[in-house]
Amino acid sequence: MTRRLLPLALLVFAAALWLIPLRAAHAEGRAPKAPVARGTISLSVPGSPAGPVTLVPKDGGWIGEFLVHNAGPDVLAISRIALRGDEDDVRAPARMAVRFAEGGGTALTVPPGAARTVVVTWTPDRDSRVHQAFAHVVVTSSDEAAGEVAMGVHGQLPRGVAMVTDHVLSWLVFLPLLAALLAVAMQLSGHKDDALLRKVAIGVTAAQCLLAVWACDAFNGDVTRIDGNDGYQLVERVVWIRSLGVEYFVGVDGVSMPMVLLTAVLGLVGTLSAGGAVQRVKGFYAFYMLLLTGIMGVFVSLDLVLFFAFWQVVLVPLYFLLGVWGVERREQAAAKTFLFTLVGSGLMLLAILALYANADRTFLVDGTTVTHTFAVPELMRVAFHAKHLTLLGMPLVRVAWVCLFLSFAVVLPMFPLHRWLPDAVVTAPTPIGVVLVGLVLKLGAYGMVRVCFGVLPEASRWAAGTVIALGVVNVVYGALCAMAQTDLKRMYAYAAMSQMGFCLIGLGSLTPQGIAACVVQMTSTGVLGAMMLLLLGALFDRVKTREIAQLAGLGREVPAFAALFGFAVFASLGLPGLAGFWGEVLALFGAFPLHRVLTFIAALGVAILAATYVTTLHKMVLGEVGDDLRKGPALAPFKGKIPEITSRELAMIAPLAVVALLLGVWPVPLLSLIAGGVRDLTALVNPPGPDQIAWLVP
Amino acid sequence: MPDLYGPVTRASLAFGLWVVPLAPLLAAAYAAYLLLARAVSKKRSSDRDSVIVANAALLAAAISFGVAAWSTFRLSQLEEGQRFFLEHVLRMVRLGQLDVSLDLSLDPMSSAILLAVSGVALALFATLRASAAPAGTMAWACLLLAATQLAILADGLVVVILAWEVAACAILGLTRDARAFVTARVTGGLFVVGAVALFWGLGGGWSESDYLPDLSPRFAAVHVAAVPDADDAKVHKDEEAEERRREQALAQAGGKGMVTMTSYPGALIFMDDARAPLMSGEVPLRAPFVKFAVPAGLHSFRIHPGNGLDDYLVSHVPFAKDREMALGVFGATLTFAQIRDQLVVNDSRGENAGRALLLSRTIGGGVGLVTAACLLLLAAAAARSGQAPLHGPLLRIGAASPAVAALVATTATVLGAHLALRLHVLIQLSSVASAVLALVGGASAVLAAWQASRATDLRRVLLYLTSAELGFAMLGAGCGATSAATLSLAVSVLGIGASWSCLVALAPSAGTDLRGMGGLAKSAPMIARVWFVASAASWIVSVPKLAVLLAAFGTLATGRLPGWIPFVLGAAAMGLGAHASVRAYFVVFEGKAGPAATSDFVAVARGAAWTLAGLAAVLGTVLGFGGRFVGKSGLSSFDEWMEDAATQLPSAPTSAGLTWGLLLVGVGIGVAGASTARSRYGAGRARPKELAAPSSEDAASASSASSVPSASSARAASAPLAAEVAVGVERWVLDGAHAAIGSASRAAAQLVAIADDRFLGAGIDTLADRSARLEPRARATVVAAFVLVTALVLYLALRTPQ
Repeated sequence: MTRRLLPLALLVFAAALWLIPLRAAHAEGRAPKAPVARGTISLSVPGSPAGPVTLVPKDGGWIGEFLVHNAGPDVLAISRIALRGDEDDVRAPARMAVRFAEGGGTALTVPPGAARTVVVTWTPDRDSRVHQAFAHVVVTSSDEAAGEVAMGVHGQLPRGVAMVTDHVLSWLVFLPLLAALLAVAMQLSGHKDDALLRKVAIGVTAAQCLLAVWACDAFNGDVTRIDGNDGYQLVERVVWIRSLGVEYFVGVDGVSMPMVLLTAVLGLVGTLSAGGAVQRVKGFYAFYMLLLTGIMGVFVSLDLVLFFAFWQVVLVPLYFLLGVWGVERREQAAAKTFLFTLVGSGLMLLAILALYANADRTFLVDGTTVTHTFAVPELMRVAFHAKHLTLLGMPLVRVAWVCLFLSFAVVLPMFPLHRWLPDAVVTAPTPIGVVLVGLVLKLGAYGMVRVCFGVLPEASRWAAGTVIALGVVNVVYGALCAMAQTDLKRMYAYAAMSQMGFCLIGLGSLTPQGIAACVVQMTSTGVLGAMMLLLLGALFDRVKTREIAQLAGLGREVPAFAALFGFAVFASLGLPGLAGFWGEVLALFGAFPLHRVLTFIAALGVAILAATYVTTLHKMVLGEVGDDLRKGPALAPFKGKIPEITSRELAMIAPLAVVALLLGVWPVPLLSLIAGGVRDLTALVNPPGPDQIAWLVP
Repeated sequence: MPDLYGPVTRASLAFGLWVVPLAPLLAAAYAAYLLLARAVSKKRSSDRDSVIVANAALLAAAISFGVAAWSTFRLSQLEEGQRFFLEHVLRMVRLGQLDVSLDLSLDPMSSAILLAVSGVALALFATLRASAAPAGTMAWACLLLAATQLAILADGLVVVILAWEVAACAILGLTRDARAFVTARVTGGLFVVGAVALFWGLGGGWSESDYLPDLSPRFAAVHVAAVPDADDAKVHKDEEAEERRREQALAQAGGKGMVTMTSYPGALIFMDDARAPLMSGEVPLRAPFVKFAVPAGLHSFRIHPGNGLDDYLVSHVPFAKDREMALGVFGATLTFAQIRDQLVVNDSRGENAGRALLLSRTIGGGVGLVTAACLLLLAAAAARSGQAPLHGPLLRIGAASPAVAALVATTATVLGAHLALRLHVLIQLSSVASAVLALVGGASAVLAAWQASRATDLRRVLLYLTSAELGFAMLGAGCGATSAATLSLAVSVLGIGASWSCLVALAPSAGTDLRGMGGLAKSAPMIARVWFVASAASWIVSVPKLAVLLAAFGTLATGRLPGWIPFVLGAAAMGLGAHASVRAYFVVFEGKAGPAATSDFVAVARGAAWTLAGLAAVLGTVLGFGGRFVGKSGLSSFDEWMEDAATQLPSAPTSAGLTWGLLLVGVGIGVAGASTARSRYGAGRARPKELAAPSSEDAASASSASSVPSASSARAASAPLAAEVAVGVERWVLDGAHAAIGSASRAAAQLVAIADDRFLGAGIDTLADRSARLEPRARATVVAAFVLVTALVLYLALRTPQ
């Protein structure tokens, strides 16, 4: 009974954690009603109950209008209408302008009860780098009680089928949810056809994959913040909970785009690998698809409430997938995973609330004024550091940063918060292992980039050295632990932990090379982790053991499997020319100038991990298959011979191997994708100073 | 920006260099595909597959060698001072000022090594094909050759390590030696740290406590001339007025100047505030380009590197009629040519600020950055080339078949010495690094030659001699005799290749145990002759080695080491090498016939071996005597050929009498080494005890081609004490150190894992286990306690300001 109640109680606790702050924020967000002014300003959009103004094509450009009303008994003086932002704080894309329809100026008076039309124009270049415009027109008037008011503006250049292409991120996030709902409906209706559900799941993830490829093609890696829209692309932004200032705000930049593509690809690979081996199919697919929804949601969220919500959506299905579909000690592994991540979530929530409470006044996408915000781009503009906030005598910014960092470090995982990972990897069935190692671990590093370093750059500079040191500890500790393991999957879990240490090293360096290393390492370890888990899963399906000592002779017995496994090992140990190389070497390049000794130790950690991998490969590939294994029950159905890898397995693994090779030999496509995002983040956390010049320039 | 002058690299754009490594790579890929397809379709690999793969490999090696030879011929047709082919193949990384491309370059140094390695590989591939090597072996061999050729042609440190690691992977596939691979990874890590140190040392802002990295690449324009002419030198005296006058003068003079840019491939070039890039024909002008004509006068160039990097403006670049300006990277870089260019460029006052700053930088503890970077890179190079004390992996390749061991010894093993030569411009900046390189190379050569003269297995003799040859080349590199060391290395590869060909021919029937061999000259006269010619060319009267010896005497006399130390090491290595080589000749081919017999070369192997040995003898002598070390012969000297690739230190003694005296000493030592071998092992002499005929058990084990006697096999009953000591050092100290490091790593891993389980894991595991059994209220209490403890820790941690 207690065991059954545990997940329910944890769910309630997670929900409570989520709801309490919303109530608090709601109470705080209520602004006192302003006294009626003589000239009272209000803004409206003709033909629409609320903003934002939608720009429509007209005369070779894009035009939208809204009205400035004077609801008061006296004249309203409009002293200025302007697009929000300036050269130092670019918000709107280039070639956007605003004026009054009457007279074409930016100031006039509005008689009592009258309205004036404001015209917003956008004339993007033919080869414009951005295809969207999100902006605010700020109106300053004599209505002092209202203060500065704004109207949101939104323009969208057409690209394909608007229903899909204008909302591609939403499709990417919620497509798997459709499959999850179908699974629930089939369960409730007593539908027996599991094969149909499998086909739907494969179809949905394949469609998600195609959409991600389209999104990747539509994404311009060179776009940065100076191009407007805060450097984000494929943005969707609508008000979700107006009173709390919460928006459904999704978008991608160079950091998140590779993760979106990775999620879609590995989601499909995981679905394919599930095959017919999974029991309780409907439940499995319901949770699995929900997990994919949560992961994709985290990667595209630009509002911290949305981010936190998707984060919780990841944790709950992960708990059930491990606890119900795991192979051994699954309840303990699931409980451990959930406990760790739940504590992390609590810390994250506290930090988010602290940021929200100290954010500045701003506008929602439709122009509604809010005193605080959860929007990431707005929080990035808040000078938290300059406010000198404290909590129990400690700088609040640092407290918030550490809370956020720890919450993400749990998922990374970082020493000493890593203990959940080996059990989870050992327990997870192949499809869950693929998603766990390939995607869930990346959420930690991504969260650090997006929230810790993006929103709190000063605190990130303060902690940079510590982050690198922790990264080096992760690399060495993980490598040593991996060396001591006798269980193949457990060995790989520690190796994965070691490899994620390079994300920390890269991030802590605050250099373009280091920050790029973090994203590259996330991508490459995602691909390689999935490949490795597929191979280990295939091997376990055949021999029913993970003991390295029992797995000799694969080279002679199953040469194709051994070749693929060898390839995965070489790529994972960072062999130049394969995917694992660039993340590690770029991290070393980034960190060396500031932390030479630590960089040297990290390089030794790579060697320890390489020794572990090669020794394991040596044991497994050479020699002969042992009699215990050959005459054991596992191989009895196969007449004592280990079956070679099947075409179906090869079809899943070979594309990942090709990607691993391409990323190693020609990482330019990935680096081009992330160039703008890396540049923005570097400029934010490590703004160039006057001394950052070469010796030839005086 | 100051005007800069210097003999920067004057490259010519090449096409087709990529074929050299690609041909064997495609052959390897084809073989891998064939094997994988067989495995998946559950069909056994047939003999026919082996034949197909062997033919493909041989064809690939032939194509590769042909293109290398053709490229070298085209290189020789270029004007002196412009012998540098550059080919951009693939852009890999462009982040901040880090630009990594798969660029291939061919200069006289690389061409000499490339030809030697490709030629030897072609001969050995023919041998492998004749011996019906399995398809898997041929696949790995092709990969090894491709990686070696890529490393030789690479124009940057990143591509070098990439190729090195792929070669290590191929060696693992060929020899199954995991320890060698781990050693390669460890030293590869040192290489990467060295490269990173060098990269940051060349750019950025350094201070006592901080470092500010450059955030984007820096470019500058350089007059492609060694020194400024009188007019150029005036510019800085009269500032702007003079600059305007100069602009007018340049414009009035008319005509066209030339601009060259070979760095940052793919970068677009804009001139004089234009919004559109320069056009070359109907396409925008993109780097790399050479001698693009621009009107005379002052011009500005805006370089658009792409990949989100800022544009960079190089302004006021003066173009005089028919004068060439090079736009290049100045600052952090990993490209050999760019590093060299930065070190040879001076401003109009003759000062090189970049070199001065680089030399002033330290990495802490007073250790110069250049010294540290060079030592790290050279440690990796020494490991690749089997230099003591990292020669274990080289010796273990003897466990593979003779043909495979021969291939590894003559391809990937050469790469370390090649890197030492490649980095000569940098190494010469650090007297410590130069001295260490010379000492390590010299000492390794002596030790290896000594071990070769005591070994009782022919494979081991050749492996030690390979190590000694490469040590000699490194000795030359350390002494600054780049040209002589390059020639020595190239000739060594040919000589080693010839010797290995002999072993490959002998081993199948006669085995490799010297104790069972003798009198084989009767049954295999051709093999005996080839062996002798190769020995003579490599050790007894090796002209390139004599040139290295002279350089050793001349160069380091002004450095930290007295000149006689490298000279003595080199001379000792020559004598011992000659002794070992001739000893093997007499033991194998002369005297009474041993229990083993053999047949002579098959036709293919005979031609290949004779070619290699002949080339080693002829090229070494002709090119060596053509050099300035040993007097002009009237032929185009190797020194002149190397002029574009190597910065020579003034190394040879100035006195002709001393030169000839030292030469005679060198030749005398070589001949003395050979003579002592003849007097001890020659025909008619009693066989020494260490080479007494083996027992029947030993003979049985020796006949197995795959077994290599351990070092202890040299410890024959009455071996001298020195031999005992040498073998003991190798066996107990070096192997012991290796084993100790391995054991320490495993012990540390066990300790960490126990700590992870007992200390970190115990509490958490218990918590997780109990959480499944606890009541919800108790569970909430545990979680709350955990949060409170965390908060307390945070509070204590954050109270301390950083």
